[in-house]
Amino acid sequence: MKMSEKPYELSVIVRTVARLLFGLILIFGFYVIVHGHITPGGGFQGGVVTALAVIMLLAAYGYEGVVTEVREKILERFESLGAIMFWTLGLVGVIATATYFADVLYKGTPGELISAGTIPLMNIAVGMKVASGVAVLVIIMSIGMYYSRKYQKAEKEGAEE
Amino acid sequence: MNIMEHIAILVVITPLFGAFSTPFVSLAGKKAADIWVGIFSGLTFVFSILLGLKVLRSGIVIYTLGAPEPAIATVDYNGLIFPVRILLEVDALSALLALVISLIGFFAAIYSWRYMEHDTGVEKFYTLFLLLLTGMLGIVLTGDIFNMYVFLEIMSISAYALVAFRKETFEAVEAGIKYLVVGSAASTLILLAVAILYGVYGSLTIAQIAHLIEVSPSPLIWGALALYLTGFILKAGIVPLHMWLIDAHPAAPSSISALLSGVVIKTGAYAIIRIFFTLYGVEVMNRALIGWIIVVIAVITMFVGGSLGLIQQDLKRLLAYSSVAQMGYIALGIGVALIAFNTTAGDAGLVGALFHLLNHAIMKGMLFLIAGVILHQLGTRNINEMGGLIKKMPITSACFIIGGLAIAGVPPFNGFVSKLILYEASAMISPALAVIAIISSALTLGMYLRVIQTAFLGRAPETLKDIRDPPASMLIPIVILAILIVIFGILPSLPVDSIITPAVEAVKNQASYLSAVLP
Repeated sequence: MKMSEKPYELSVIVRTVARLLFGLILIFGFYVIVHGHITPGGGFQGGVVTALAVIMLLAAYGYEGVVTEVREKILERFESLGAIMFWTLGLVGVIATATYFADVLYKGTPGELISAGTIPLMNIAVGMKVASGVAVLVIIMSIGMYYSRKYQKAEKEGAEE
Repeated sequence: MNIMEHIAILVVITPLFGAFSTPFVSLAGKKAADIWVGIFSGLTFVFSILLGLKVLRSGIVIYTLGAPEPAIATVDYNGLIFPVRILLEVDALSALLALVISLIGFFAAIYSWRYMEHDTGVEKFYTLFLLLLTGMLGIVLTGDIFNMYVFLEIMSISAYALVAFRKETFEAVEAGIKYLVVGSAASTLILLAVAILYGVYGSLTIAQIAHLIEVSPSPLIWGALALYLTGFILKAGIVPLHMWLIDAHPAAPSSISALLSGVVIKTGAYAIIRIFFTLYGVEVMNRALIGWIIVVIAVITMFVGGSLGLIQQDLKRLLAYSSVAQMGYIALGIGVALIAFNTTAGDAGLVGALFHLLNHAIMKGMLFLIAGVILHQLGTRNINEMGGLIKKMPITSACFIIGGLAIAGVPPFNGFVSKLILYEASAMISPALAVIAIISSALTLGMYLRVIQTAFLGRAPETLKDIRDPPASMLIPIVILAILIVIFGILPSLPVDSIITPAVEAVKNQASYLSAVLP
């Protein structure tokens, strides 16, 4: 069997399926985040599902294949942005003359998507933070693996010479 | 929006916002991030002062998150009234700790401006720094045991990362991983204790659990107490669970070492006080037994820290051992207060413990900042490679000598006063305790005299030519802390009457802590 030119990639079947599933997993992650206040799950769980899409790409394409598309610097900013959003939503309660984290927005009918005041918005903020945070963690770990593999390879070649 | 009404939560959320906005601000350059961190740690300090004033003026401050009014801590469920929300409950003890934490935090932030100038990834450093501050302030202000655990984890995880911040050195990574493993074990024990208390009493609010423990003490709570004590003894760096401290505190960048040794371990001492005196209450427990356990641990801690510190060659490692020894003094005060609760000896023990806590935060914060200056200017931490520094950097050296003598308990500095109170308190329980405490103090004196003699006096080696005092932003925090040491030493009644005595009253008065929340 001929070796692939990019040894860090998995087979074409895995890569194709990963490509197809990428959008679906993202959408499912967003679904879990947005419905956090009326169904099981929430910002954290949905965020992890969203990050799984990136992890799957890492598994299928390897670090070299993914790093051009997903940049961890931008994800890091998104993580901070999620935290700031959560913080600001807490402050809404203070501004509305109640206390920090008080639920002061439109409550709606229980069970409907647009209900429960600030809670769904907070789920979105947490989802943003967790999705980008977990994705950054995995990307950074794969950077470590990439360089240690490169180092080992260089060492082996050095030994052969 | 009235700031004074929301002051309790502002103390916690100000550094939190600073932490997560720093990555964006640092896009405008390192200078902007420096100023941003200075502003937010300074604001936290100001808010802590305001919170302290409010507590001194109007008693315990309650802040309930998510409630229509900050002071409404309970919900009315068909006539059954109980606290259900997360709440911050700030009494004089919490306010004292918050003040100390934000003071040292502010100075460490200013100091970091120039100290971290050669490091990369400073925005991550600042984020973690402010998160560490958030975690500590949360621990001391919260009135909810699970919330306390969450803030403990915020504090600990930022501390693990900060210890390993200079990841290019093997020492830092090793210390960081060691701290991570040991610290997580302690956190798990604390979480288990929270789970036991929640399982038994179905509540997480400290006041509610304390009330229920008073009404119906279940045997399971003693298991929870053991887990709590083990966990927080580790977090406080008390012997026999001090092994992480010796590696972690020297390996961190010096401004972080100042925070770790100055205040992070104090949150462990705070939690122990809070759990003994407020959560469990002295009435239900076997005070003498538990008090003597603490006293024995404390005596061993003082002795181990003092004697092992004597043989260190590494300046920061020596300071870390000295921290262990001083935590022993604080624990001694707590133990004495437990044995002789509500007597003269017990009160003196508490005053001594809390005053020494304040003093040690100032002294050790300053000493670690000076160790950082020496590392920054000389590039070494080895005492034997230093010499004659007093001629090269007179102000820094004078401050180190003040701090070293103060921590050894030499008059007229603040360490002398708090140690004297502790000697008196322990002598009223058992004179042997006071003797051991004085001997340990002599060990500390020996350890610091050796540093002063080798590093600051004597002749400078040829290699140390172009050494001078550090830039102003590093020097000013050190000098202010040194001035505080002298003021607190000459006028000890100033801090004792204004902030320590209210805190002691708050510790002793469990009933008012409970009645502030419960109907």
